[in-house]
Amino acid sequence: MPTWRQFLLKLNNFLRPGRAELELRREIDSHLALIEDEFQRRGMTPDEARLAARRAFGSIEQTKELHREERSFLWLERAHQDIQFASRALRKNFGFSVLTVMILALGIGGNAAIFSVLHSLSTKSVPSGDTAGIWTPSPFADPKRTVSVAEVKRDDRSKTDLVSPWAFAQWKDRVSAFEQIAGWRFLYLNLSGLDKPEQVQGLTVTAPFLSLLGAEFQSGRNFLPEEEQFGHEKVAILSSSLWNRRFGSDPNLVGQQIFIESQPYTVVGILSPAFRFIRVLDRPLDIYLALPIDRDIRPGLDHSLFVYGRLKAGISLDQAQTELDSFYRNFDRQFPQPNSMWTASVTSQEPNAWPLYKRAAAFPSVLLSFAAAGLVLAIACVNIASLMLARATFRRKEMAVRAALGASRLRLVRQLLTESVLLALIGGVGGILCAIGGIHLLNVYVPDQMLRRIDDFKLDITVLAFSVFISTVSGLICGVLPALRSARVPPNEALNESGRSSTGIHTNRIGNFLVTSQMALATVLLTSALLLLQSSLALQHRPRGLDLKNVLTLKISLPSAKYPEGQHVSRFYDDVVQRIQRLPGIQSASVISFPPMARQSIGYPVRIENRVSSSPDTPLIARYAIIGPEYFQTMRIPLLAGREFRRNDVDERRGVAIISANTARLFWPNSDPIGRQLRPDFPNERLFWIPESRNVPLTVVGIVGDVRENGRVEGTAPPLIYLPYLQNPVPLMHIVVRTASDPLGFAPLVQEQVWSVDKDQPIADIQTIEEIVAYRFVSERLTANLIMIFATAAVLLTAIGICGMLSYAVSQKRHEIAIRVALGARQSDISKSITTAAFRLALAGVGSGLILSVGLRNVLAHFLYGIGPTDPITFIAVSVLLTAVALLAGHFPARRATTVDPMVVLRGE
Amino acid sequence: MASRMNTRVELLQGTLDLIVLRTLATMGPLHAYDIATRLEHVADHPFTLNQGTLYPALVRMEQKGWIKGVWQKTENNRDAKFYAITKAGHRALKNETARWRRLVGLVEKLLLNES
Repeated sequence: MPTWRQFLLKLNNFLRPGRAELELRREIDSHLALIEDEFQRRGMTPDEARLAARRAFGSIEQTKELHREERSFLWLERAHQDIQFASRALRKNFGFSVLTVMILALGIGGNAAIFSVLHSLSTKSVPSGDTAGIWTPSPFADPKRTVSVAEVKRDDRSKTDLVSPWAFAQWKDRVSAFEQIAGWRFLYLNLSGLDKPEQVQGLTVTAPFLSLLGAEFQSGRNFLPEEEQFGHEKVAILSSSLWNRRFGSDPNLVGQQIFIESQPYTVVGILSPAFRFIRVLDRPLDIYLALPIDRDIRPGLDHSLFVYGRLKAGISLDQAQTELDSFYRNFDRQFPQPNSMWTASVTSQEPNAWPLYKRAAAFPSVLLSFAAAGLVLAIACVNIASLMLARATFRRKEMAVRAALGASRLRLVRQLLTESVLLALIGGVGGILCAIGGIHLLNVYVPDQMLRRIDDFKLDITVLAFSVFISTVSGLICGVLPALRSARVPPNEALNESGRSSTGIHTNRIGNFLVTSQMALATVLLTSALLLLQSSLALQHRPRGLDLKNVLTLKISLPSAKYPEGQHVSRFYDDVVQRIQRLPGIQSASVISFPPMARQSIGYPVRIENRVSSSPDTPLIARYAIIGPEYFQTMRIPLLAGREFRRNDVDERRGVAIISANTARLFWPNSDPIGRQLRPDFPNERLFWIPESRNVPLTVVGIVGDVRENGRVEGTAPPLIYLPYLQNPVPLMHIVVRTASDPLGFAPLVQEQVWSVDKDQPIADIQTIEEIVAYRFVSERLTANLIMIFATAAVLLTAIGICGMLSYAVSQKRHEIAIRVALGARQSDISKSITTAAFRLALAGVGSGLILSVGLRNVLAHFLYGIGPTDPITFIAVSVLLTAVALLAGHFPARRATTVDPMVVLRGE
Repeated sequence: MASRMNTRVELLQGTLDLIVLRTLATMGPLHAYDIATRLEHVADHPFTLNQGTLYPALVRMEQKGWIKGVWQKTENNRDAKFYAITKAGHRALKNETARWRRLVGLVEKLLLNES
């Protein structure tokens, strides 16, 4: 019982040392007065009495110290004292402290910023198949019970596809595991009826979709179940931002009609501004329309719906999976083909179901950046350790005095460690400030799609805790070696010598080692950064089978109400393209359904006469591009055989197609494909990305060069089949324009031509093909740039390290230099010896760094395209550069060495 | 160096606490100087202990709740902190006395056997 009472009293005394101290002082004073009284009574003079009283009492200071020890927590008091000592020492060496804090702040800040990225990765940001790079994760109302459902091949569950409307309608009726199930699909929509036409992105969704996502409405309501029936009045829900932007936050908008795709829709609800769903291609979704599901549709290949479901309470993922599997088996006899190929697969949408390392592994570029940040911090620590070690030599006397006065070695080590940890914590505070800046920059420069995130990167409590942790660890790392070394000084030796040091050689050896390892780590970083940079450039400028320069693209999506028939669509594009071609400075123009390199098209099955695919379950798949005349000429894709499309290729009954070289190789391996027939197998549904085709046989009339859309993956380009838009009109097209000079400069002129044909037609995505490619490889480029920044920091740090180390060596060898000068050495000899030292350090560091880089080649090879991980030119460049940096860093101490005045130094003893 | 000092204090601790408690129990509330004088009286040699050494013991026992200090006037009208033994102090005195007796008995026995 007395223990906790004692604890509280001690704690109180520790927290408020003043009161107990005052009380003690008063008690001692009174005690002394009482002794004096007594001695005076015995006949001493007051002066004698005072002295005698002191003697009788003993050492007042010692009493106080023992009293403190007894009444409070000694270790805490000592820590407090250490911190006071440390902050005094740091203030005394203000310049050194500021430098150290800045170095640490940058190191810690970089790590914390990258850690926030790592931390923000969520389960749903896992790339999968074709949609990789496009979808960002979803915030569900009840993520624990929410699942996404896909249809998968029974024989290979890794082959996933979207859900067919037939299956979706059946599940709704017959699968009991779901409390709610919602299908959705992506749309581009044109808004008209107001001053300026605009194209927005939106979704068609079934009624439960928004409630699954926990959407809240700032006015109006969600869709009603009857609104997803065919023939119901058309209704729409708007995002808050569209309502603000386009409708001026009109409070009476709900209930009014707006024009979407030139058709009237009644606004039934406006979402709360807080609602966020996926972003598609880095743009928000603005409109939600009710998605009607046709229950009479027969099972087919048209896998076109994304499906989310909420499981009933108490139903596990496995139970739902089992029920879906048996659902499919029940239909096997009823619909033998193609249904029997499929079953469904249920995936939990619970975030963070994956451990961090697994999530991180899905984004190796983040891991790579994190490793680079870690390396910079390691260099920073080693750097500070070497600076501290050098400085510790100047503090030998201070330490010796402390030791002579009775400080134990442990106490000295603790005090020095306190100093470095204090430095690191101040550096940590600076680091957090740097991290805030860094996170801001990352939020600006990292596109949402790169990591498929929904929220900004944040400095939350975890990131903060991480920063504090790494600050402390760095403090210990940079402090421990210097502390151990300086605390080992035997006091008499340090006190006797007058600054000249014979023990310096040993310190120097450690210092050299530290500097060399910094140099080695910097070499590794710089090599990796340069390789990644070259790789990113190679990706950007890789020959891709077409000329990427000076091509402008614009996206146009024609409303079906205004352009109901294919001929209306083709007449519009024909008209626009001809007007553009007449403009000065335009070399040629055409249209294509999806621009090359944008990776937006989807593959569909193809049937070929006389050729049976290896198994009926794995049909031949090709992607389709619908193009206008002169497309190949505009993109400079070579025609290898046959002919291009002609203006008279209009008749759909005599359909034609042009295939890419790889399609020819894969589909007709042993014969000439020209004149052969193929039949596309488009789903029987009207979707904006599918041509309105009757799936009639098409004759191959030409073969063109492959467009290598693949990013890092080598190998053959996937099959691509071109169809003439005159035969297969689609409402959504991209105009491509080859210009003589800067393409973006022609954008206003080109837009004018579109509006001169239809003044209500919105235009979206005005960009160059080069921009599309750049966006495609933004992840690689950003990673390379980020690591380049880290590498630059590492090289700078190393330069500081070399400069500091050699300056220290110079000041340590002042006597030696002075004697040499006195004996007639020339200044150039002196500076040459310092430069030689710098050169040796550089050689050792760069050498071991290159060996390390070779050792890490397998890791780096994963990230490289078009360049080997041990590229000799890069290695040579790095060696030369770093050696130059080392010599430059050695220049300052070398100059200082030549200014040593032998008279001053030698007399100074 | 620090450890050597510690052993000395450690040795004194037990006995000093006991002596102070005993003194306060028989004499009533005393200030530190009184206690010190009293100790010198009892001891054969005057000033065997620096009077300052009392203070750590006093603060320790006060924190344990064995004694309680109150500022009062001495007969010469000086301010002094008078320490009085508490109930817990009386209990502790009993325990400490018993412990001391056992210790002394043990040491006595050992010494007898040795000689």
